Amino acid sequence: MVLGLAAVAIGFMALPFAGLLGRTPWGNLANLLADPFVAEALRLSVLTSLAAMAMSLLLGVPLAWVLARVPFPGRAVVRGIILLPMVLPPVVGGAALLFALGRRGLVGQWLDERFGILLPFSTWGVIVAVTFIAMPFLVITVEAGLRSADLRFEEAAATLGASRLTVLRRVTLPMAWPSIAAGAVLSWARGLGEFGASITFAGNLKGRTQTMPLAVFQALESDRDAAVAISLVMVAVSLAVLVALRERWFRVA
Amino acid sequence: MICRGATSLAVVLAVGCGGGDSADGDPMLVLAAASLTDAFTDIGAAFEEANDGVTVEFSFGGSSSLATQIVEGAPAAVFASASSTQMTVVVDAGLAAEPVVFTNNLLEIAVPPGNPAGIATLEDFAREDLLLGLCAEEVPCGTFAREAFAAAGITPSVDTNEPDVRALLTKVETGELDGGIVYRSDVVASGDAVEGIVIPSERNVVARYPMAVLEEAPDPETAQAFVDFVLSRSGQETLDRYGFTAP
Amino acid sequence: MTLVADVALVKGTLRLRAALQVADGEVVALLGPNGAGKTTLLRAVAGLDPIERGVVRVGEQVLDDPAGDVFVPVERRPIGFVFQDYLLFGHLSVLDNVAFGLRCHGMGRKPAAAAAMGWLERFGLAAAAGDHPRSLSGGQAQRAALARALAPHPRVLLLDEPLAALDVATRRQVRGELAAHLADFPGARVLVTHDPVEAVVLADRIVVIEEGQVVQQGSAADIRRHPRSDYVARLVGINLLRGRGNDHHVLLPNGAEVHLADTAPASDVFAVVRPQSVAIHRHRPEGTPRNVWRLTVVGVEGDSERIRVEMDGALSLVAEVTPAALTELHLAPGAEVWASFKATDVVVYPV
Repeated sequence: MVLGLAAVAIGFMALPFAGLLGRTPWGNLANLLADPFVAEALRLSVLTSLAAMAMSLLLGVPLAWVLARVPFPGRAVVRGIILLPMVLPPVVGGAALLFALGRRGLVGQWLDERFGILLPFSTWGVIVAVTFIAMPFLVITVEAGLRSADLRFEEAAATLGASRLTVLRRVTLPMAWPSIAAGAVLSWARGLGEFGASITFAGNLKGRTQTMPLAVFQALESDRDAAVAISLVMVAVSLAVLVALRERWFRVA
Repeated sequence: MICRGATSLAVVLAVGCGGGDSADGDPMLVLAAASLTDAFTDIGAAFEEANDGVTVEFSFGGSSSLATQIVEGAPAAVFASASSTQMTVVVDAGLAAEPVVFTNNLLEIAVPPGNPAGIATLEDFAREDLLLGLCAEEVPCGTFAREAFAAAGITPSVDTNEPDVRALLTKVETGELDGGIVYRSDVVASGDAVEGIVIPSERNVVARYPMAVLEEAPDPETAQAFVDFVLSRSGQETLDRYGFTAP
Repeated sequence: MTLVADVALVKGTLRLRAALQVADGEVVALLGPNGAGKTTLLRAVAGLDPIERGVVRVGEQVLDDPAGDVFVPVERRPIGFVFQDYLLFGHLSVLDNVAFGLRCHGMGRKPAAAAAMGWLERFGLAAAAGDHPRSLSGGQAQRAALARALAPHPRVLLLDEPLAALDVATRRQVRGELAAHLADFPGARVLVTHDPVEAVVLADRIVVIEEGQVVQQGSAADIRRHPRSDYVARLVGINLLRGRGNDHHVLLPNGAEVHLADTAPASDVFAVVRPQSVAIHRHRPEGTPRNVWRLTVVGVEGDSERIRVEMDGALSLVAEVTPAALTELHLAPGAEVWASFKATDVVVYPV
């Protein structure tokens, strides 16, 4: 019974990719992928998704720690806000970013006037949009990891003379490493496929803001074979990374 | 089921839009280019009023997405495209015959209210200090805009290629872009949200909108009646009101 | 005194109000039932549970004094702590675990590793230096935890149930090793246990804690001789009856009378009867014993040599009988029996 349902689940998840393989123009694949715009999009995707993962780690881990360990009024509301991008359509997230960080946005206006920083239509804009969408995945994963941790290890470290910062650096974070790694991979994977928020906030320009998903979308308008070929590259890259990292990061933990 | 604003993977949507085989009284599904949203909604209401017992459902989207849906088997009766290219895709697939041009749309420069960047002509699109957007090359409004620039010998400094007119217009409305090239009908539909700057007719590109009854139409007669209704005086007046021009 | 702790705090349903003093070189065992507050007292001394009133001092240094607004945080107290399940850091090697405290006290990586290696050698763990803590046996893990706590040279060493995580088979052996290692440490040592044997083997002095309060303290012999609570009496395996002295009797709260050979002081007294002195009969015994009670057997436990029979009724008594007597008298829970002891076998002392 359980095995049967699991098999159905596997089939359900794998079938669309089989469909993709079925539509792949194998004979013409090399030609399609040789198009410089594919390489350009792949480069941008790798760059922005990794940068967004780095941003998510930098900001998301401290946030997860605060949510897990520091009781403060309104914590549930804050957590809800942080997780909003997971449930909202990404396009809404992109529009919201535009209203906040766009040229006429709440903060964006000030950024532009004060520092001449314009996020929309720039690669940084893509990174901001992808971070906005992907970071919640890291935050909930790490927060869950920190919550399930045995606090007495931190007490043990304190009795050995470790300051709060040392405890965090040498005990809390290393022990939460599996959840941090899982969160980072999840957020990276989510970021790699990000489309709606990116195109809404940062637009679509080859070499600057056109990542793989945008390239697929645009190719779909004109050349479906090219779209399928690019999708195949995304699937291959993602699968390779997810499988490799899972082996490395989760087996030990 | 209506798939409004269908701009996602066409293959997925084709499944989602499956209306099943039509029996009498079932609504007639019309797939129409997104730019026709307002005009066709009005025309559809008038058509229903004029024909007792007939209901029309629209699925508006990018013409190319709609064409893909039709090729993938969407059970629609009529296809109204914003470009002859996409109509050709459907005709070549043997799914439609004898399309007719039912309206034209002209390009227009859209700028935020007050025109902060002071854009006046197509030449301003070569200015690198401005944030400017076009539709992506693959969608008709992008194709036409590029034709216009090519004819005028201008290389536009583009900051973004938006997936459809609506997305481009939103970025102009919010002032994120200083200007963009859209259809006149879009400027009209936007009301006060954007200002339109007319492109002189000698430099303009006319977008011809073809429409056709689909081979798979469950009720070809009603479908043809709808096409005729759009071509009628009443239909043309409605289109004119929304910024379109008669062919 | 090296360690002086006089603490009052409320934690959950526990109200801890206990004082503790431990000299250099002394080992004190905190003995008491589960939930009595032994571990909380230890945590209060370490600074893991801040106290509400009182004082914690090591030597002249005040560590916690709410009235004087002094609170030295855990990491700056000269106190080592061995946790019940050792809590070795799973992401560090055994060597790095032991070096952890030294690194926290500012020692460089190499000297800390060298010093840690010295500790591991001393504890017979040199071969396991590079191992993962999870691969250690229970006894090894305990020694590693001890080495880790001792490495930064604390003045006071606290051990919370140091043997509880071990299975019964290894416990006795590790207990012996622990005793030897504790003997090497010059500072004050406090260990928490609920096992009286552990307390006797490891400690110079036993402090009994019940319901957040110290009920008795002294050497193992003192406590065995004069238990001051039911819990202690049961621990040391004797019958402890509390009542009021009245000439040649002790009057129990439920009205029962215990006959004595001598006169008792006219005050609250403890009456102690050793289980070996209690006889069990199927029928009411004839003759001299005047302390005879009709009781119900509620529990039978023991080994092939000695069997303890617990009985309840007008009073609770434990008797020690031979296996032969057990069979002969059909002593199973629920059995109705007569229990007796001689007046001369009752020892009385004031509360």
